Amino acid sequence: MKQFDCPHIGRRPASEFVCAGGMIGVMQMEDPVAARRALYFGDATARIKREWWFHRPSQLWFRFERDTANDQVLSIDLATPGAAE
Amino acid sequence: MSIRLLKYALDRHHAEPRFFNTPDTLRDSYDVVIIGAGGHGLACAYYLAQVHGIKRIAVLEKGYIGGGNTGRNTTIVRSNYLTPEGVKFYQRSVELFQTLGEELDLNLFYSTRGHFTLAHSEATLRTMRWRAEVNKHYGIDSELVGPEEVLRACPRIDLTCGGTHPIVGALFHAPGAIVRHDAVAWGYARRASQMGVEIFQQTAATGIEIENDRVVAVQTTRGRIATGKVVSAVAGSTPTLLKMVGLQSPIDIVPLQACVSEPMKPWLDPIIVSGSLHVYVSQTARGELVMGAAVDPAELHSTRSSLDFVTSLSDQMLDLFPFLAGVKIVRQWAGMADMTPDFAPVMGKTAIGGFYLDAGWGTWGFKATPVCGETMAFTVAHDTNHRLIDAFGMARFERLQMLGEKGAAAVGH
Repeated sequence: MKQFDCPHIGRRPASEFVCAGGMIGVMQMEDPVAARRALYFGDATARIKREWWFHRPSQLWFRFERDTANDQVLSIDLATPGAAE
Repeated sequence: MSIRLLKYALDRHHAEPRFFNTPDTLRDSYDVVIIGAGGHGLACAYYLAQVHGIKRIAVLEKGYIGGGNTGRNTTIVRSNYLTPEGVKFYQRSVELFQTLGEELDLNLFYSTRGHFTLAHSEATLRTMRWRAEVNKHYGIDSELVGPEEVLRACPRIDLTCGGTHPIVGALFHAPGAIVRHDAVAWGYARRASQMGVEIFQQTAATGIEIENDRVVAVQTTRGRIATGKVVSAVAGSTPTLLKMVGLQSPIDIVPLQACVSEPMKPWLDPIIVSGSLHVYVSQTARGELVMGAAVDPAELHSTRSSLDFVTSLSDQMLDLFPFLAGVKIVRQWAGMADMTPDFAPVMGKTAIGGFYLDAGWGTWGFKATPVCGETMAFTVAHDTNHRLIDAFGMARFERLQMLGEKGAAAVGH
């Protein structure tokens, strides 16, 4: 079973996490066409991707850096504010 | 014994013609270059030659024909979609499929089974009633049925699903069918080849040359081809192809896994789908169960398959069919699905002149093979989107005019 080696909550099964999609940065809302493009369009080739992941049992959010060519997780950062011990 | 058979038996040369030509060298130019020799690309080549008389066509394939998602799906054909655009489009595909064996002069093992989408809750039944009404409005055989009719068609099913999520009804689609997927690709390849289309396997496109926003050539691992028209039908490699022409899309690549059991005596006639249990299953003419589930949880450009998939799928299968506990899984695999945010495809003309896209086929592409070939061939021949694919343009995402096929295109979303 696939597991993630998380520096914050330890080694956990991947099935406990939900991928909430890639990061699109701060959206510029002034230009609606540009905003919609930022929302939907992007480079989707195999690459190092920054993503939001949610850990259900602990209700914590994380930022992952993941290689979409081979599913290797390169880094995990805690994203839930104030959750660091 | 007939004399012809005797002569054949005594003859040393059993010259069975090849299914399709394998020319050694690329020509300098073609009228149309199709990238991807899966069902979609080969069907497009066939209809271009057959219907539109365009025969100077090269079909490029980096692997072998039908080796991508054409050979990795669960071969289900149906048209009970949710949006009017989707229903009309897939209905045309079912019509083409029903006579395709005769047209291609090849037994495609097209087998009409009836297709049950199970409901385990009142909420699911409501969506199904909506789907059934949209379907009926467009003349499609689709109706809501009760659990007793599911049991009559499939006596081995456990209607209580182990007591946790009992089946309360189903959407029944009588024309639902399965068809031999390799035969579809090979049938189109043979007919196209007989009309002069050239198919190049082990030949990857490495670049697309553009001048003044128009396609002028394709670079390949076997040399350059001058052409004014390029069709991209490459499923999981779509983002890579789009990068070659400088376009971006709303498509993400996510693995979709499937597996087959060891062969059994026939016991499952209909196709059974459960969105809530994330599983779909049919039994092939060989007796194997072909089973699939929802897509993997995150983007990944790989055809690896996983133990997580096969254990969770088996778990759900045993809720429906507890008697399968002793049956073995013999093969599992994955395809790279090109998913769109609204679960409808991205097809037709693009911002680059002469570059046509047949993509966004996610987990719903095989059943659309004939109609994609037909509509893409029309679009390429006339440089105008076929009316059936007009709603499938990429610009709909910029206008926020999505098509919302999520409830009907896949399981587990």
